[in-house]
Amino acid sequence: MKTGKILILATVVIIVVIGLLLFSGLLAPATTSVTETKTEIKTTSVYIGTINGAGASFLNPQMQAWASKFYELTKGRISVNYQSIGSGAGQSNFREGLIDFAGSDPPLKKDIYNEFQAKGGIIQFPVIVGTVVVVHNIPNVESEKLKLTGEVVARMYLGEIMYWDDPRIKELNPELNLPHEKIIAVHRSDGSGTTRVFTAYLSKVLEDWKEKVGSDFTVQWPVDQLGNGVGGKGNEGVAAAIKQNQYSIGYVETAYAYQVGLKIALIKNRDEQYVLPTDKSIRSALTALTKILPKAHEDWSSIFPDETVDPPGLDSYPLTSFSFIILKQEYKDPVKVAILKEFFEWVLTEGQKKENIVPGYDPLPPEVAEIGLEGLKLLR
Amino acid sequence: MNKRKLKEKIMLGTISLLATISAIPIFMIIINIYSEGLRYVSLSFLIDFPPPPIGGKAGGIGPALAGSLILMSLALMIGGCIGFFTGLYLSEFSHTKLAQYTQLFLQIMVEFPTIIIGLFAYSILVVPLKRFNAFAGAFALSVVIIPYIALNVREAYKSIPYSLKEAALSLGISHPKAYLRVLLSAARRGVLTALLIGMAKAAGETAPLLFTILGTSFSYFEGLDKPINAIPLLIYNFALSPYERWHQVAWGASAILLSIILAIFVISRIVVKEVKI
Repeated sequence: MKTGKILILATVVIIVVIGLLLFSGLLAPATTSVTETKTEIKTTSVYIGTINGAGASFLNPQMQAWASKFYELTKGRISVNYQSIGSGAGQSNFREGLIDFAGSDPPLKKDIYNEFQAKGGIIQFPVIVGTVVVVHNIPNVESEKLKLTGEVVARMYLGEIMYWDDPRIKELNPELNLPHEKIIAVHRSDGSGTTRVFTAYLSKVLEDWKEKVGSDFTVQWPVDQLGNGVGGKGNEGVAAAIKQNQYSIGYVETAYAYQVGLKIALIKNRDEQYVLPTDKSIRSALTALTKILPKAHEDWSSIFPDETVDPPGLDSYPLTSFSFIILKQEYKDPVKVAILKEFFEWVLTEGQKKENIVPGYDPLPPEVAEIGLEGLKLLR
Repeated sequence: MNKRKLKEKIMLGTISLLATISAIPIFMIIINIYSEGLRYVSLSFLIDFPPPPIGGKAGGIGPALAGSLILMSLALMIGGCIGFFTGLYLSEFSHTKLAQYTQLFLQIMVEFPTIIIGLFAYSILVVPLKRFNAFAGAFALSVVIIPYIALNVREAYKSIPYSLKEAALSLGISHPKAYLRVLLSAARRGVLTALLIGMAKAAGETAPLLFTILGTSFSYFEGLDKPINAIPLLIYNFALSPYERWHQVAWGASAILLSIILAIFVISRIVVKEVKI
């Protein structure tokens, strides 16, 4: 009875596998396990466990770098699991209570903030600076040569400026030989924090844009109706569309533009200077912003990004933005609280040092990191 | 006469050419994936945690590989059992209304977009439990593979000559005994192939996992109620990033995934050849 034997063997294998699975489940360090270890310097409880977070894809590379470093530093004691699923999905999963923390480009929406306010409150704080750059693909113009103003960019996306040799562009770039070619305006087709920041900026610099289009995660692009607009999914989609279409313009996160090698345009800031996202221009923007940023437990939705784009200052880079971490104020599991505190305190202090920052991102100035450090004290 | 023969030859030539062309993509995919991906594969690549985008160690796909193997075996356990007995029922009781409707629904389910199944698992196993978990992923994968397994098992049992069935049942043993001990050995080629196809399907699916298992970076397996990773999910995440290092990991992971699936198919071919009635 060969088949009988096969069947018995199969059953045994299945039982063994089930057993192994359940057993390893018991063996694995659960988030609730606490080991009280006395270290030599101070007597503190040492926690073992995993915290799960998800959200903004922009934040993902930096979070992986931090998590990886922190895993090494704690010798595998704490693993921070962050998965890139998008800011919107991160916020809604966090609302459902599926993850311990969310990463998000914009802060919590007002309605979700109010909802959490009613049941224990939340804290949200910036963890990293991100900038958006305007990029182009004009074959004979090099990177960091083309000068643009927010208004001109807005009029391109409105479809009012249709050719690269438009007098309004030529006026800004007398030294460049701009061709009579149609401008292809590339934008994100999916809902995105990048679009939210970019359109907030266009709304701020051009009243027309504010009235006709406004600012959101996705907007109705007027240039699409003229047939000169192209949508791309994610930063990678926009980057690909720009590379494929000569004479195109678009906007992407800075890290992406550098990694993929897109040509970056200079942008005129509020004080009439043409700037690129450099350490200096970002720091200048952040100094101007520090005064208006709220506290971690407050509602950020009305301030960010509508109030934070295009800050004053001679060197300020107008499209400076943050990525946020969102936490609940109350967790049922005290171990989770301790781990979240330990990790994010590290992120906001040691994590902001140059060696822990992935190229393309910029660290928070101490004043802004302080918002998070203050906020973490509310965690319980 | 000659003209007709010529016509026939031309026609035959065209058809065989087209047949060859349709097989070309498979070879191109295999060559492409292996030429790009194999160079990153090493033993540590199979074990290590995924690397940070820049700096640190070269890293690997350990959690994703472990997760995929666990999810595959779980899905095969759940989906294999249900699929097998469903297939058996569909074949041996095909005259009943229940069997007819079940078969119809299974045929629809084969065509179901798997992302919907993922969403379904999310709503019944992730949201109520308030956590992303490995079991939800395994469940979603089982739902995906059940119709494949059931319909293939049905074919396997259907292909047994009626005389053999009659002979088995006339031995005086019970129905289950006849189906599982006598007739299974006659149908085992088909049944094994069905299970292997289901397994390959489970290995390659991404959509059912997107909403269910979340993914992990620094743990292989923490329990059925905890997040877990899988190779397709890792490829999906890393391939879209701007970092060269992560692209390399995605290529390497693709080579591993392709190897797993090819291995399953090679095994199923060997099984079909060796087992003869």
